[in-house]
Amino acid sequence: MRTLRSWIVRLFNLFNKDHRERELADEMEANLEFQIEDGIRAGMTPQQARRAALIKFGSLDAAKEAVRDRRGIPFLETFLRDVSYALRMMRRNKGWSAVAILSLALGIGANTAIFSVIDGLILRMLPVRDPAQLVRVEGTVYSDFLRTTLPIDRFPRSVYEHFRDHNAVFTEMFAFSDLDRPELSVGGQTEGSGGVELVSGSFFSALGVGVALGRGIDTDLESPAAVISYGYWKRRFALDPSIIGKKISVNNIALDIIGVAQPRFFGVSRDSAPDLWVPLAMRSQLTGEPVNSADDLVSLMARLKLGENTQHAAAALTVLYTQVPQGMRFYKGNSKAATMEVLPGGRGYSTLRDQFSQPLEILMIVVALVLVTACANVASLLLARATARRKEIITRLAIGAGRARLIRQLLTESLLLATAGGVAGLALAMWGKSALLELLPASPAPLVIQLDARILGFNAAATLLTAILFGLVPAFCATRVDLAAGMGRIETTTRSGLRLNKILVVSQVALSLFLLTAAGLFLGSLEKLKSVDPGFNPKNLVQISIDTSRAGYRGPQVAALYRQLLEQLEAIPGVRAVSGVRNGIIQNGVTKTSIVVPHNTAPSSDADTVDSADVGPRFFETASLPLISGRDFSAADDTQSPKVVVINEALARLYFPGQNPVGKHLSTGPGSMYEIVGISKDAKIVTLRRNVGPMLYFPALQGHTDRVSAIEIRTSGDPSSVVAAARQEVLRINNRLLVSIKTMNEQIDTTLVQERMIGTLSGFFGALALVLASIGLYGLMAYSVARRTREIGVRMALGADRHNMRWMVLRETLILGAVGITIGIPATLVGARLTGHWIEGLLFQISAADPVTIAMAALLLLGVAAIAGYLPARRASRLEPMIALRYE
Amino acid sequence: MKEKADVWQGTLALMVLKTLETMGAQHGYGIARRIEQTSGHHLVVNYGTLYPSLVKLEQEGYIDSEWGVSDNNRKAKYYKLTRAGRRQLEREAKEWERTTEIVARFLTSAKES
Repeated sequence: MRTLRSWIVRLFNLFNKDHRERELADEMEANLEFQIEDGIRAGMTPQQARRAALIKFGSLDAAKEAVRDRRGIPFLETFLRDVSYALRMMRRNKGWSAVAILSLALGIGANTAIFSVIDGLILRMLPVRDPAQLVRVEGTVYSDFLRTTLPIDRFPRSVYEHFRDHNAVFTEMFAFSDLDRPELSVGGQTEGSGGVELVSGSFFSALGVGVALGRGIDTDLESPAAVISYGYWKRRFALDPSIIGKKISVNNIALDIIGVAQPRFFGVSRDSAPDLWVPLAMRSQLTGEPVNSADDLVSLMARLKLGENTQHAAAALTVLYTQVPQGMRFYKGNSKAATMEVLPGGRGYSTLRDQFSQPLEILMIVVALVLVTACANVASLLLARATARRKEIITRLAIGAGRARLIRQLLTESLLLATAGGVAGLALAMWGKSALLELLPASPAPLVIQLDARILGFNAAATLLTAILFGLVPAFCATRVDLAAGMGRIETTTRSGLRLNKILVVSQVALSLFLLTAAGLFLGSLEKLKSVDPGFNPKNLVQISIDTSRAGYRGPQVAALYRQLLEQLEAIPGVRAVSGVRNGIIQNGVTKTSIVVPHNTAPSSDADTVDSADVGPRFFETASLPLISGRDFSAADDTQSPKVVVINEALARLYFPGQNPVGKHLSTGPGSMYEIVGISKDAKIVTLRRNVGPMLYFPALQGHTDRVSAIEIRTSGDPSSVVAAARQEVLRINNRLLVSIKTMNEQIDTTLVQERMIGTLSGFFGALALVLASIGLYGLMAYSVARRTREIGVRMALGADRHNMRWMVLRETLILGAVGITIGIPATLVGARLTGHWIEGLLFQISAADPVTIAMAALLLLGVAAIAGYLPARRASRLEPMIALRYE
Repeated sequence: MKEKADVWQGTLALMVLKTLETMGAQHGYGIARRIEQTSGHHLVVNYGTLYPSLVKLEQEGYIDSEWGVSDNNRKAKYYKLTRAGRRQLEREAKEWERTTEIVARFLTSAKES
């Protein structure tokens, strides 16, 4: 208590110091006089009395100093003095400070930006009660049909209910599921896009999430109730306190708003923030389709009982699963057992996280290295300046300043630089983060976007670490001087300082080489992926994704709709051909079909299950997917005509080696025999990344018309005009039919989002490192030319011409660059070896130690070194010998 | 012969508080003189120790200061005990008595054995 009080007083004593100084002097003066008077009273002469009093008093200055130490906070006072001195120094060298602060701001800003996204997406716990107890339930199940083990992350509701009622490992369990593309309306007015999550009655209570108003969902019954999110309440209803009891419609079903969730609760997914939570049992009403509990797939989360571990819980659930009645299990017909997994769930679900953890981790390393480069840059700037301040430092040491005191002051200057850089970096980071989130395919929950104590803390820690990293060594170097030699003649440099400076610049070049190589690899992969020949022509191709079941089409209605669509879209000017396909092209959706080929000579293997696609008439013409022989499908290939199939080259090679398969037959099971009517070239219609395996094309009109989910349009010219007209046409037929409409090139772009993000950002940071390295090189050479002005003058006086001088400086720059590259190449190769396995998945047809990429990076660096060296070289060549000789 | 000892910090605070209690408001020189007199001039009060000690006591709120005029019309800074200071003095004095008592008892018993 008393200590705190005295510290506060001492803090206040930092102000109004002059006044306190005067008071102290007055007080001492008065006390001295008292003593003198006492002396006189005791019979001394005034002179004797004064002398005695002064002896008794001792050193007045020492006493004052002792009071000062006790009165204020000496540490803080010194610090403030250092800061104000440092600020003056910064103002005096504006250009120098700007370069240093900008380097640091870019480095710290990049780190803060990447960290804040990693924190929001990967590290942070959900804002619910005891998130560490939460677990996700997932598992694997063996598929007879595909003959492979499939991961499952969603379960039939029947399984959930069985688990919920019979498990002994969880205290609470809850289920939830997103409602696919809901349509919200309030007061008859259609809302913009919004998310609706269907949740079990235990959802809110198990998460421990409260409400700001009303109550949460607490029923598993079919009840038309809705809880809205706080954000939606604020955004849409302006925090209207009388919201409870109002209606909100989802897919034209009116729901009563019964509550508003607590602020900052965005659901259990990181990727999206639902606006609305609705009881799970409302699914069939809201989708307009009867759903039985074995088809109703939900995600499962639970709270572990105290002392329970995930392995044991998983084993218990695996046993429980075998007790679920046969018809209620996964994939109704599948009687095989499944293995359950229980995973930590405190961080919530996130497909963005699954997809972007690795790129973000790589980027974190990249930006950390960029920050190191920035530190090297500022350290070399500090070294150069320390040389310029040598006179000051020598003088201060000579008049008695301690070395520790000087180091402390230099470090304070570094800290100030870093702080300025850190603050500017924070601003850059906030701006950069929104740019970064733009690169993600979905916009993550608002939690990711907030600036809070964690991010500020990271920023501050990065700033502090940076200050120590770049400030310590130059501070030690600058204060290590030989006083006697230093005072005598003012030397303009310290040799060790210059050598250290060279080391710093060389390491910057080496680091830049590494970063540029990484950027080259990622950008190269992106370019390679972009220029992959898909086998069909993506140019002038438009893809419309549709959802027939949401629009209410059933059974034969789908075939009719399909014919109508083809007809009307074909009538749009500029359209050459229209067709359809079951899974959209390049949407990573694939259907598997098992085939039996009579007189099969191929080795029986898993290849008996092959990829297949259901496609519309004129599909091959529409997609410009060349047929090697045979024919395209036509509208005549329908349920009335003989069953036909088109195979791709890979399948022909595997099952009909050396034969012409056209006219031959294959079967997909008992009683379904198909005649092969054509062979197509291999085309990557599923994904660009994988090579094409054996593949079958079935005419959709012959069987699975109801599953067609994409319409393809081949245009004769620029597809953009057709896109608008086609949208109109589809909306006119049914306004709930359209999911999306994209040109094929746009579709391909959306699948490259991961590669584009890491490519763009690593490219950006590589360029940043390059700029920093070039500033470092330029700074070093400019400084070296200034230092050697006399030497250059002497050389020129002795007959060296301007060309010689220019080359001398340029050569030195290039040598520094070359040394950096020579060190950088093996370092990069080691780095590639260490990270090769890790980054493999992000590289496409390029190895982590690609020599061409490394060579390109090296050349780029040499080029930049030449440019950085050119200006100082020109300055050296333009020196007038007479002036140079008289320099200093 | 005995040398004059400097007063050490911890006890100085106690002596200052006690002096102010007996004498009322007093200036720095007065406090120093009183302490030296009371000790029978066995102690020397060093101003480099006294002033910081006064500053500390004031910061802790045990004493208060104000400018006043002395008997011979000289402006000086006067210190006086606050209520918290009085309590602190009581506590400290008790503490000190107990300590000396224990030490004394220890020394006598050590002599007897």
